[in-house]
Amino acid sequence: PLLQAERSISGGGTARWGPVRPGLPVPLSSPLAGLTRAFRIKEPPKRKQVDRWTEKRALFGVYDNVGILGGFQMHPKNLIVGPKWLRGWRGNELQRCIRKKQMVGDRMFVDDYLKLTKRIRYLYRRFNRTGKHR
Amino acid sequence: MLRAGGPRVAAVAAGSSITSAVSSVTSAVSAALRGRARAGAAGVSSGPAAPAGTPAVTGTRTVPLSPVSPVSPVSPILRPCAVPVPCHRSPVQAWVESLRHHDDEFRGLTDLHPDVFAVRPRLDILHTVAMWQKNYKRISYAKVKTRAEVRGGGRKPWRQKGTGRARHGSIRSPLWRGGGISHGPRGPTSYYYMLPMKIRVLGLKVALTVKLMQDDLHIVDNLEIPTSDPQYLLDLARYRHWGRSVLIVDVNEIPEKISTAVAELKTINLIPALGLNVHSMLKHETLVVTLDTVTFLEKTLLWHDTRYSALYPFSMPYSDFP
Repeated sequence: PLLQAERSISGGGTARWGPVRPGLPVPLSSPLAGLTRAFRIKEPPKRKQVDRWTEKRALFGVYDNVGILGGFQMHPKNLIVGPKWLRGWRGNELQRCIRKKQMVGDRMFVDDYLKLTKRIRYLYRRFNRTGKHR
Repeated sequence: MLRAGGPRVAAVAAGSSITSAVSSVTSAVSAALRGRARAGAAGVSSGPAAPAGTPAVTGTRTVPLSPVSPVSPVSPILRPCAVPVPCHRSPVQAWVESLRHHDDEFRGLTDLHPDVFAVRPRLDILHTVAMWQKNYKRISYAKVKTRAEVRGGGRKPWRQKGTGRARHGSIRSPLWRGGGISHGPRGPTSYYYMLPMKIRVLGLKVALTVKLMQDDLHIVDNLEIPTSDPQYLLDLARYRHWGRSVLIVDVNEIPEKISTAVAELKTINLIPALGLNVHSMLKHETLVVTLDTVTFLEKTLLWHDTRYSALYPFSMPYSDFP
């Protein structure tokens, strides 16, 4: 449907005196003017309300300098909560898989262990036998 | 003459040592106390009770602040620097306040070591340390299955030639709907790294300097408050224009009243001195520190300027440290 044609009425080039179509339910300037069926206008999504002062957010980062300020009896890497083979350590995917197998491999489910071994084999061949850096 | 407005006092021109300024400080402090007492007695009926419309005050009731100003003319607290200051630099000075009464703002003066509280304002180091604090603990648990891990897909779906369709080897290749992801996140990933110790120490020093120089650092003699009502602390912070959030740091054991008061508040937090860090200092608008904490911080942070590098980890005993 020609929405523009429904809405605009030109006076043949001359000036127009008076309202275009008097007695309209919706003014011509709104996006609903001239449309025969109801049209849902979407609004931008509202921001979700985030509480910036929860316990976790207010005390984030506390004890990060426990080593420097506390006589080096404790290292901040011991504060990290996470999988045992990743606490205070960083590596690429192959290194992570190998470390997981060394530290946790005998506790894993059988099929997970087999998938891990398969992945290590694939990554080893990929990194050490293909590409420019081998 | 010393200005009785902000917490930071312009260095006395006569000399850096605090002993030379005793008489002027005493007269200034007593003049300030007398001025406060007169103002307090005159305008106490209106009082600093927060109006109902402010968003910072939680709850509509206000604890009536005592009409009698407790600032009795005791000798002011004058604390010299714990660690000797190099001769080419002079210490920075700050007012010592007290939390016992809302008016108790000028208890004395303290010297602060310039190599901790007046270092160059390195914003890049603040950024580095803040980003380190955010990321070194991060472990991302995102993981997707590759084509080898997705269930199924061992058989060739149709023969290589003859059907007019494209050639495929398995129904779980990344081209297929429901297939594995070739380069997705793999397993729990850690983003751990450590910055050099001296950079983390310098980050603390820069943060303390910035807080002092922007009038957001308040030094308190101890953390005793008259009531364990959280509203008292809110009114105190409002009266003294501390801002929306306050971080209180102490070395010694924390008295019960203030810990119960702070436990119920969200934006006023209390941490031991071991927990001081750049992120918390930047998150809270004001930093309130006790005199013992200042001594502790000066000693701990200045040691790194003149130490030897570690031949073995510092956690093992050294003959001269601590």
